[in-house]
Amino acid sequence: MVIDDLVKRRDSWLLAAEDPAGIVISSRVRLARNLRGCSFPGWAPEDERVRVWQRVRDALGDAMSAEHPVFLEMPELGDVDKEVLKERHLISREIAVQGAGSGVAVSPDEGIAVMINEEDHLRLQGIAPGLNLAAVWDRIDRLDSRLEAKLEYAFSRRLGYLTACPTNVGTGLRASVMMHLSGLRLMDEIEPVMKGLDKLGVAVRGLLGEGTEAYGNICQISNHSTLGESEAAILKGLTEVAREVAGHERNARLRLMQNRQSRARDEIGRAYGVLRHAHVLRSREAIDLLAGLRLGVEFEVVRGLTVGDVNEIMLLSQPGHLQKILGRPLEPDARDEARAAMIREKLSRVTLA
Amino acid sequence: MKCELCQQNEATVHFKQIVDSVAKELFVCAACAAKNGFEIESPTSLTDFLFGMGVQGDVKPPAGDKTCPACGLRREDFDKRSRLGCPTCYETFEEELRPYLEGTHAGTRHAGKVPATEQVSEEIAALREALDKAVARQDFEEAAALRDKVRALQGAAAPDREPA
Ligand SMILES: [Zn+2]
Ligand SMILES: [Zn+2]
Repeated sequence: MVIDDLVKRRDSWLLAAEDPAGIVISSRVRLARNLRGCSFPGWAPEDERVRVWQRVRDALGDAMSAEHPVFLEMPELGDVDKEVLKERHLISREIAVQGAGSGVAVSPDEGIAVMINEEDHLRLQGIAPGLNLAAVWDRIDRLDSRLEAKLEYAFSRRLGYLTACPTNVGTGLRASVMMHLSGLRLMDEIEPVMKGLDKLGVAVRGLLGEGTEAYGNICQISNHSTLGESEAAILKGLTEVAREVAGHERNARLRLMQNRQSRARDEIGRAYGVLRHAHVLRSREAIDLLAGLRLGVEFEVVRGLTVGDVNEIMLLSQPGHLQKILGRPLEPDARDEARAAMIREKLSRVTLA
Repeated sequence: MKCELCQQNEATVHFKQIVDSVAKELFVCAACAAKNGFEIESPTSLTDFLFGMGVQGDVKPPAGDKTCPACGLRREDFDKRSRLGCPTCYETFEEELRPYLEGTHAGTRHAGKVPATEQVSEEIAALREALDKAVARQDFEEAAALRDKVRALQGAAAPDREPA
């Protein structure tokens, strides 16, 4: 099965560390598109949703033929499979609870995922490691252009691409950059930076998307407005903001090593100690500690581990992946033990400088 | 206009009030207003007036009760779900959405990508206009050239169609 292959992959972009400092984790572009003359998925009766799924599926099969996409319809998937897809950012929580007619097309490299009948008829997503919005946009833009020749999109001259939620109307473009900001947090400077971003019209969210807090020191910044600016302007603006935040983070890390070295070493040492020896680890705790360990890798305090390894452990310690690699569903308590065991094993040869 | 209560006298008094985010409006004559105990000088709430006094005859549905002709979504459905029902809802609820869009986005007009088919239809519209003008001034040579261009573009926009 496809999902079983996914969790064993070691070549996924999710594990790549494009940015050697580990500050920018990934760049994502999402386009919302709908079909002319059809109700939006949340308002359409099931038979209409199923017809849209078939139409879009056929069009996507053609438009993505070079990519050999895999189509997964929600009712075919078990709970653990859906968790895995969510943890890999291939589907949203919203679509996971949908029935017939909702699903996703995924390219084998996981760089493209098109959700069908989520909030909109199509949600085209492109992801790549590092700060790469322009390249990701290029790939999604080309797919979108191939699709528009096969599907008639709901489009208005004045308002652009029409979407179920008016917050997405216009370009339908939401670009986001995921960043690891432990330097700013340890220097207690994260608040002013976040407030500044808000003034620039940039939204800030936690690791798991909308409405989640920033844990593991991982934040996602994204454009707020979708109407009145071109795609190029939105992407350029967000890239500049991400560069600026990365600059602040680099600066904070330098000062951290100069002025608060003990605090940083303490955070890294505690993270290492607990992860290396704990027998029960909750998901949230593991992610926070892995962020500390990651900082140690970035500061070259932790030996025998790369940022890519940390990314992999982070991914595998999430509930869906954990259950998938163990091959059976586990209750939360059993998961916490399995998580600790997996991490102890992965860190068995890792040392501190 | 005629008084909405007696349907006879000319309406001279206009009441408007927001009730549950829906604007209620009433046009009445001075006599009906007085008869219903509605003091023009110190107006009680329109709600009391409408519901407390028992209005005879129909008050026309306020703008807030709009329903999308394409998908049946009502204004109150949008208030509940914060999601529209279909692309046509953007026309149906244009007035209601305008302040929302202005508050949310950098601008009010699309400034991004345009589907290729839309670009063609815009070109065709421009050519048609030029064609009409050419016909009006009896420049049939120009008109024929423009007609050929329109046909060529129509062919490009709908490749499945058999050429005429
Ligand atoms: Zn009257
Ligand atoms: Zn509608």
